[in-house]
Amino acid sequence: MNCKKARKIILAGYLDGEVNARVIAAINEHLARCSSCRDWEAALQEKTVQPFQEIKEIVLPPDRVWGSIRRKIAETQETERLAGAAAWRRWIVFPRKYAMAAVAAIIIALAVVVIKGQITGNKAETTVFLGEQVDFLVYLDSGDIDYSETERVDLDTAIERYFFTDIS
Amino acid sequence: MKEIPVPILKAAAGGDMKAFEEIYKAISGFVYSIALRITNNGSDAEEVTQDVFLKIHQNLNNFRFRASFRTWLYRISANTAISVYRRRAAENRRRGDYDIALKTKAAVDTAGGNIDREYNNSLVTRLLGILNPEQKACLVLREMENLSYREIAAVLKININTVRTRLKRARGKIMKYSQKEVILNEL
Repeated sequence: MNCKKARKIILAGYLDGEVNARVIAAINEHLARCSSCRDWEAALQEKTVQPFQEIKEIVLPPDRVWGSIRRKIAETQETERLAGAAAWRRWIVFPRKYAMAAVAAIIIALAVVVIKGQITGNKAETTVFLGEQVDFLVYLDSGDIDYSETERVDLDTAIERYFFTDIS
Repeated sequence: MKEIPVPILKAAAGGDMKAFEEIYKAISGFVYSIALRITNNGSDAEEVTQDVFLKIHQNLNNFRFRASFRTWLYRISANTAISVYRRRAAENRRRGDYDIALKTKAAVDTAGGNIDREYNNSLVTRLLGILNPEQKACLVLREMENLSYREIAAVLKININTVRTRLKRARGKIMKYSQKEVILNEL
């Protein structure tokens, strides 16, 4: 194994024991006979591993953090409670609005039906009237009527005398 | 980090604030430490811790108790920290003080006055400051939490080879940075 490959493996797993036993043996063998890589590996341990190993202690957050978390949780719960109440209000208020809208729609629908009915009714009456008039005109023109039998009411007016006085 | 007993998780999921406080006491240090390492900033780490616990509180009801709470927590913590870090970096870029924020605004809490420990904390903060948030998350989970590559892949929902590549690049960057520092110190 050459130095370049050995150093690559040392950086990418050997330092953490994350390579298999065969690779560890090969690296150890290389380090045993290469003083340059041995020095490099020692420097790597010293500069990149040891500083972190020595400061593993846990640092506690300042006390104010817990206070802040509690406050935020309480605020969130209050917001959720209010949002829940608002949702209930919506359930209660919205049907009232819907009911009003429904009543308005019914009124409009009834008005339409009534107006339409009236128009339709008038139309029907007109049709019947015209039919009757046509029948009557046909009847007048049929020759079945003896106009002499028509009842004559004498009002003894000048115009009657002019038209109805027999010339003969 | 210890696993939280399932009855406590279930009680908290049912709205028991005492149980939730127990969870907070058990894991807030872990969440804050991860956040601090990834964001490099105390107030951002506080914001991450708060967001993580609010997410836990909101989602405990949906949590499948067969899954590992620990893995879930690692995932939420790392992802929230990465997202806060990205947002802050974008804000700082807009303000023009990106480098200053990353390299100098390290707010690592140091317990006690141990000079070596302070030096190490400062060194780690500087080293993490040169990495991108994804590389940081991998390195923090690996070095500080001792997670295996497979576990890191599961936590971050990435391929195991991606974990390998990110760690390799992160260490390569740290190595180059350290060599530059040595040269500068020698000058």
